[in-house]
This record gives sequence, structure tokens and C-alpha cells, in this order.
Amino acid sequence: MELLEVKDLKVYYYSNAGLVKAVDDVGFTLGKKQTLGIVGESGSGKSTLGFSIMRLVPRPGRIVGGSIFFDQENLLLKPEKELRKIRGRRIGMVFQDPMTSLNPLMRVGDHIVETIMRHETVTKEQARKRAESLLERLGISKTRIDDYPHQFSGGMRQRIMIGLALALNPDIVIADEPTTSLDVIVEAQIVELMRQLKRDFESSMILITHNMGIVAELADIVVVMYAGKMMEISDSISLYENPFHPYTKALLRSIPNIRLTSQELTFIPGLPPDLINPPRGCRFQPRCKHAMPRCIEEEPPLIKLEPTRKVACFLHGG
Amino acid sequence: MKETILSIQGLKKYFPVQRTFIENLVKREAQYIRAVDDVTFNIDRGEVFGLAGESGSGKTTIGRLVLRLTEPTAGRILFNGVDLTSLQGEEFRRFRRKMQVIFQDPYASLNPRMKIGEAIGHPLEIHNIAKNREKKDKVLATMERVGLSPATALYEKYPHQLSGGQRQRVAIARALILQPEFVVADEPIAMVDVSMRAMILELMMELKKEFGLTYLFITHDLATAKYVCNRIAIMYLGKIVESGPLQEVFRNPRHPYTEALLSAVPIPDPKADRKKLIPKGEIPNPINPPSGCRFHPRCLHAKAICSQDEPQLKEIEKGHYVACHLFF
Amino acid sequence: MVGKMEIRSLSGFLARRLMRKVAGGVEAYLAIAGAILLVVVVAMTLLSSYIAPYNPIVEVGPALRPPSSQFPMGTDHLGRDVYSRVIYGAIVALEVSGISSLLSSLIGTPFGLLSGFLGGKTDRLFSIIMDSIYAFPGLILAIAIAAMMGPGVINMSIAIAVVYIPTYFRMIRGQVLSIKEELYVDAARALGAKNSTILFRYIFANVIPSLVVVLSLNVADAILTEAGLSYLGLGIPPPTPDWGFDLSKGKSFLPGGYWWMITFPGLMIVIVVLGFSLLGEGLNQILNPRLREK
Repeated sequence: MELLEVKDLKVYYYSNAGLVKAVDDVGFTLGKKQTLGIVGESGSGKSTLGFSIMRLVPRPGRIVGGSIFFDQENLLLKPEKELRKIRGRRIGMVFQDPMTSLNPLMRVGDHIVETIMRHETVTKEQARKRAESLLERLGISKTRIDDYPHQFSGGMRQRIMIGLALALNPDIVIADEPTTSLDVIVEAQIVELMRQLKRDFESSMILITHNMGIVAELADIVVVMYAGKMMEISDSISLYENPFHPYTKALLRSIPNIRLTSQELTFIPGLPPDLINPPRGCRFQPRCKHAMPRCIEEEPPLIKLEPTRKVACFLHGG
Repeated sequence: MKETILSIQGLKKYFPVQRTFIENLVKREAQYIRAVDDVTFNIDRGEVFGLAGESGSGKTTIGRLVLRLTEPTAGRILFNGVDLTSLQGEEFRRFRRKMQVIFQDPYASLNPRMKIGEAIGHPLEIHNIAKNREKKDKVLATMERVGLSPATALYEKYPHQLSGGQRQRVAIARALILQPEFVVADEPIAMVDVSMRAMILELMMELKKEFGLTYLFITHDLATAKYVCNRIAIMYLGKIVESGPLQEVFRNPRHPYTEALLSAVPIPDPKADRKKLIPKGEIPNPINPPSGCRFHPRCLHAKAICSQDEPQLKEIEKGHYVACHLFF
Repeated sequence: MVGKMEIRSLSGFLARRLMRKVAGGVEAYLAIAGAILLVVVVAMTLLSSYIAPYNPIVEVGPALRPPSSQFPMGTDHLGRDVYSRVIYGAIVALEVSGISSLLSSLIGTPFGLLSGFLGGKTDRLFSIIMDSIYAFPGLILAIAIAAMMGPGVINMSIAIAVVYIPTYFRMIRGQVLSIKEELYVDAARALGAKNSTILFRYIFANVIPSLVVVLSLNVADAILTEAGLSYLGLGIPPPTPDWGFDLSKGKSFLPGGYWWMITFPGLMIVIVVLGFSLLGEGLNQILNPRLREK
């Protein structure tokens, strides 16, 4: 069995406006040392998916179905006490906004030390030593171990977040839009850092983002999400070279590639999907130029077209 | 024949740093954030002029200065030859007809209490151009033109009932209903969904052709800039480090910062070769920028002179300017 | 400009939000509960002469009788029906709190708007004045003014109004300061809108929801202050039914075991204040949602 196996996951939000099917029947596997990219636009459900793996879905959201097998145990059946031992230690998380994810009243070193000491029985000195070497690894001078978060720039805070996620050498790191709020050059630095650390720590990663550029840089496998459903899952190279799903195709064609001398950018007509009353059948059909009558009647199942590729689209069978 | 529509000359904007009472007593000198520090450039009529940079570069502040949402500390802004800073009150208000803005945040730039039909028609009201039926007709026509269809239905809606892409179209309609000559677009697609960005860009370019507009396109996204800009200026910590025709600057970047910026842009292609020239460190504190060339502490080619003398923006090829001691 | 259009759009906006929240929100229930209570009280006030069984200011039965089928809330020391007095008492309570709240808001709001919008020396001057008034404990200030002005509905209203002017000033000013920084205000300026337009259509229009909330809560507070003033004898002169006054009289009879004279007026005050508070809080939750769900 793989390191992480998600099957038929359903996460719904019981909001005042109605039932929001944020994640509807999503499944994938993640192996050791693999990086999985989950891409989608706003409302695709990708962030909810990321949070649900750690069972951190905020209310009024709830995981209503499916299973998440981490190291052969179903996380959805575990009591909160045991989950807390897994969070931080075996699955780490990097959030989007480094400004608000760190406690402004706690020194940076203490953040790391506390995390280490909560999960391992070590002395404070030992934990502190580890924190120092971790900071060095992150490109931050260890003399800054006693500085407060506000004394660091956004990019450095993000490094600290990444460090916190890796402090206990977890099996999986989930990164939710880790570079979205950062400048281009800092983003490149962080991507490079993540690449190095992934190698050194040998951890798997789930990268959740709408930025197709950094997914191309880091991910081995890519899941494309739309309106809470998986449209396509494929190894990275094949996805970019020869996307199957019309949504993936359209998405890739709407992103400017600075290396190309000339480019025809397209866009996807129509409006983003309503998650309370999603379109009938295939959720992408109202905006798909290849839509057939069948697409409105039935929901296309996820079909394996190649060993490393699956698509949910009637154009490709099913 | 190229005609200059906007001329920025020696523009400066310094923001005083807030000080506590004690600091006021103890420290003698006030500190400033030099957001825009002696910037000079011209924009030709009919072009899309890109202003690119990271945070703290000053690009957004320049946009606000041009619109006079904030006053310059020094320097001049000439629009069609007229010094904007010399105009006051009513005179200036009328000038605003010719210069409009599309902001980055389609959620925050619309008054939540105004129906979008009212919001789009509001400029017509402000400048006494049309009223009632005539105004409504103009608004509906503009809405259809920017793709807000069906116009009569959407007219009555409030901003929170529309999607991000639609709201940005409202912002565009509002900016263009006065048929201005010049539009400041401050990161107009940064907060729009990826798959809708091209639509907004295309709309902006179509309208540019139709109305003979000129754009000041402020962005941090070089890939987008490449798609729409004719000329571009790269800013770092309040100064222009390189400027020129876009194709030229991107193909032959001269300034080390421009090179770094271009190589840092993520490529949506897993097989692309990625040689990244990532400079060390991060953007320094704008209150105390480095001496001499502001980029020197991070520059891989820095020489002794770079920390002493500030390089001036000089022409290296036709229309291509760079401020760097490597060349001058 | 503002006015009709704003009221229409605001009520529409409110109605829509209320409808949405009724589907599942606790906040709506607060507002609805408050609204129901108040509708009952207001109806009671308007229909007082029809629903009160007796004339509240004359002797209609033996004095100091406990609640019975004839006198559901008993009679007071002068043989008057407490129930009728309680019903009629609503008139004064609502009159005074209504007028004073209106006055406070009409004076405090424009000052708050100008102060927040103009800033600088104007702001500092107004703030100092308002802060000085605000520094006084409300009831004491009301007492001082009421004592100076003498009894009567108008005088009481004025006394209480003065106390609450700074409340509106501060709240409005605070809102103006934060809304002033919003992007849509910049957008309006870039369009070439005049300052007055920006102040009314952009800033004030977005302040109105908070204003409505403060009004509700203010009325609740004003009722308490009015009752306080009457209790101390500075309010409406007898024999006009007034809850505060009856409370005061009822207090002296309490040791004798005559509990109904003080209980029922007191209960009425609680109910009406609760009604306005619930309405205000509920409106606050609806109009200023704190947590946005995805």
C-alpha cells in the first residue's frame, strides 16, 4: 500500500446559503518521496482537500464520506488524540499567509522548539540545537533564533513555516499556496529551497496551488480539480505536454509562458461554478466547447487511459 | 508620429515614518520611506507602457501619484503637456475625465452599497454628461460592450452578487464610460481567476483599439507584461533600473536585477531548462536603502563603485535604457 | 442622493439578508425575537386607550390590592390600576427614548462624518469636545441637565440626548476613518467625484448599517436612563404614568409586602430594553458578518 491513499472523499460545507459540495468523490495515492500537485482555481475544492487530509476542515465543513489511509490506517476513524500525534510529526503543513500563521508573541526559535518538544522527548537544549541547525538549513542565520516573527520579511517567515513543517521530519508535507503571497524572486528562492529540502528530508509533498508554473517545477503527479471534482490525474510531464481533459487544456492555454516568443492566450467562457447547485452531469459542461448531450445527463467517471493517467471525460471514453 | 501623452519628471514620493512620542524627542532626523525616488519616463499615446517590479518597487505609488490620489513630494507630472500638480479643485476634477483607473481588487474597488448599473453610470453623473434615460442607455450599452450580459438584469445587481471576473468588467466599464484618453491599470488581473485573465486582457486591448486608449500597466507578473506591453520599465526600490521596448528588454536584459527577475518567473512546462539566477537575500528595508546602487548587496556582479555611486539611467541602445555601472 | 434610494436599498438589502439567514442563522432569530417584542410594545403604546381597562390616573378601586382577575397587576397606593399604568407608561418611555435617540443621532452623526472625513484640526477640536462629554457618567450628566431644565417630556429628551451625542460621534467617526481608506473611495476620487458625493454616497451609505444598530441599542439605553431620571424624581411629573416613577414609589411599599407595584413596571422596562437590545445585536450580526464562510 502506498503512503497515502485517499478514496471517494467527500467534504461538504453546511452553510447558511445551502449545502456546498466542496470536495465530491476525490481519490488519489501518494507514494514515498513523491510530490503531488493539486491544481485548480478558486472554488475548485483544492484547499479543502488539503485541510481534510489533516482533518482540519473548518466548520461548517464536514467530512461526510470516503477514507484517508495514511500508512495503512484510516485517519477518518481515528480519535482526535491520535490525530494530534500525527499532525506536525508525520504530516506537516505550510499555510499560505506567512504573516498570520506565526504567533506574533512567540520567538521564532520557540515556535520550533515547542513543536519538537511536543512530539519528542528531548531536552530543551537538544531541541534548541536542532532549531538552530534547521534555521541554518533554511538560509536563516541561527543568531536570529530569538527574534520575533515581525522582525522577518514575508519570504523568511515562509521559510520558517516550511522549517516548522519539516522540523520533525514528517512523511508528508502539505503546502497550501506556499508562494502565492510572495514576490517573484522570493518565490523562486522558496521553490528552490523546497526542492532541496524534499531531497534531503526524503519527504513526500502535496502542493496545492493555482500556479501552474510552480507545479511544473515541483510536482511528479498532478491532480486537476474543478468544482469539487477531479477532472484529470496524470504524471506531470504528460499533463503539460498532452492534456486530456478539455478543462486542463483550456487552463494551460490561458497561462502566459514567458519563454514563448508568441502566444495566443485563451480564456474559458462562462462563470465559475455554483457549488451549491452544481451543473448537472459533468460539472464543466456549461463551459466546455466539446460538450455532448451525454455530458449533461451523466457524470463522467474517472477512467484510466494510461498507466499514469486518468481522466473524467466522455470524450475519452466511459 | 509618436506623441507623448504622459511625462513623469523627477518624481519623488517620500512617506514619513510614524514615530512614537519618545522617538520624536530623542531622534533628530525624521525617517522616510523613499517609495518613489527620482523617476523619469514618458508614455507615448496609444501604447501599453508596463511598469514592473516586486513589492516596495514603487510601481503602485507611481500609479497613485499619476491619478493624484496622493501628492508628490517633488517632481512633475505632465499630461498632454499640462502640469497636473498645478491644477486645483474644480479644474482638476474635470481633468479626471481623461484619466481613469482599473484597480487590482475587483472586490474592494466597488462600493458595496451601489448597484452596478449606478456605479457604472456614476461618472456620467459626476461630470454632468448624461442623466436619467440617456444615462441608463449609455450604461447598458457599455455593459454589453464589456460582456456584462444580459445588461438589464445585471444592472440591478450588487457587487457581492457577481463573480470576480464580472466585477472587474464592471470596473472596466466604469473606467471607460467617460471615454478617457489614458488608463492606469494597477495589476488588473492579479485577483481574477486564472482562466478568466486572458478574457479581461483581451477586452482591455480591444477597448484600447476602439477608443484609442493609452495604458499604464502596473504589474509584478512579467509573463503577463510580455503579452500586452509595448514598452516596459523595471523598478527596484523606488528607482527605474531598466526600460525600453518590451521584446528588447526581455530578450537582452542588461540589468542584473532584470535578468534575475526574468529567470525567476515560473514556467508552466516541467521539461523547460531552469537556470535560475537567484540573487541572494531579499528586498531590503526601504527606509534605509543600500548606498550607491540599491541592488548592489544582492548583485552577483557588484564592483567597488556600485556601493558608492548611484548609477544613472542611460541609453545603451535605441530606446533601451539601463542604470548600471557594468555599462557606464 | 441618499434618503429615499438608500432607505429602499437598505431595506431591500436587509430583507434579503434576513431571508437568507432565517434559513439557518441564529443571528436572525435574535433580530426577529427583538422585533417581535418591540412590535408588541409599540402596538401596546398605540392602542393603549383601547386595551387599558381603566383610566390610569384616577382611583378605580381599593388601594394596594394584589393582582386579581379584576386588576391583573393589582392596584397602587392611590387605588389606580397598575396594569393600565404599565400600558400607558410605554408611551412616555418610547416617546422620550425615541426623541432623545433621534436628537442624539441627528447631532452626533454629522459631526462624526465631518470630523472623520476632514481630519486634522477640525477632527481634534470635535474629538476633544465629544470626549469631554463622553467622560461624564451618563446618568449623572443626565441628572445634571434634567435638574437644570426641569421636568417634562421635551426637557428629559434633551437631557438624555446630550448624553448620547458622543456615542454617535465616536462610532460614526471611527467608521468614516476606516471606510475612507477603502479602495472604492479611492476609485470614486479617481472618477472625479466631489467630496460631498464621496461623503454621502460612498462613506455614509456604508455607515448606515452600523448607525441602525447603534440606534437600536441607544434606544434601549435611553429607556433605562429615562427610568432612572424618573426614579429620582427628575422626570415626568405625576400623575402621568411612568415606569421609573412607579418603580420609585413601589420601592417604598416593598417592605410592606406589596411587591406588585415595583415588579410589573420593572418587568416592562426589562422586556422593552431586551427587545431593543436583541434587535440591535441581531441587526449587528446580520449587517456585519464577522466570519465569512467559503
